[in-house]
Amino acid sequence: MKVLIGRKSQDEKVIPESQAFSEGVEHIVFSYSYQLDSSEPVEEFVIPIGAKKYLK
Amino acid sequence: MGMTSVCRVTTLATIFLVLGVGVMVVADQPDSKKQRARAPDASRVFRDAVRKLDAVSRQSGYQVQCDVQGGLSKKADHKVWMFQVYEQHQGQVRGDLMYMPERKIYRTPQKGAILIGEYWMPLFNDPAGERIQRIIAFPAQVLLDALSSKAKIKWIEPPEKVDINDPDYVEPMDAPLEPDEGGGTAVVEKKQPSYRRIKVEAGEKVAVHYFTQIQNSGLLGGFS
Repeated sequence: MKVLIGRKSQDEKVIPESQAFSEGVEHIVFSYSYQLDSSEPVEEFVIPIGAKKYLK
Repeated sequence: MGMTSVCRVTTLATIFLVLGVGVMVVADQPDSKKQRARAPDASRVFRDAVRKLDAVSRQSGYQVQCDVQGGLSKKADHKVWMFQVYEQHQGQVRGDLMYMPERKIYRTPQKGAILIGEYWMPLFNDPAGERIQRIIAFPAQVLLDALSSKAKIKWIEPPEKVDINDPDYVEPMDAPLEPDEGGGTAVVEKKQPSYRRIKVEAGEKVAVHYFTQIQNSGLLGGFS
């Protein structure tokens, strides 16, 4: 998953969406790589009582 | 003497996902029109994949590893040239619960608990816990969010890996001309699509949500 975030230009102007992520225009990229493995079943969690109250 | 930092981040955000899927496709269809007609519906395949992941998650769960990298790019393909954030986390997911053993965290998509010393604390009470809660989304939730938005969904081909250490690797400029490159008319044979990867560009609402999560995690501070 990639989240792209626009930046203002050097002179503090907002760059229009059509150009914000194009070649030569600096933008922020957050790249998430998820690897899932369901080959082995995950055991039911035994949640400690102290933790349980913060999950409700 | 004071120093003012100017934040150049805007609220303009967009988000896209690429996921691998398995689809049975009838091979050897020489007629390109027939081929296009028989192409699996990417939206339907994506919807099925989301449902299957949700079902697996609730029935038997799965292990997850998430690598997060953040940086600056000036490229149209969004390749990062300057990394400022790198995080790697592992966990186990069963339905709406995730356990992250390294940090002793139990969490739901909304809240969680972290073990600090001998005591369990709300996840948001700990800066590292809050950051994890904001940036490590549940995989099924990410897909459900994308599905529920006005997403653009299409098939894409996996990138061809080039191993420059391969003795047979030739720089494109040094490569000998193909017979058709010498001149004359070339007939370009189109590759059969593999239908193994789907690209999803999620709607604006979802993009803003994930942008807000990153912003609230504090990880954008380095980009000011």
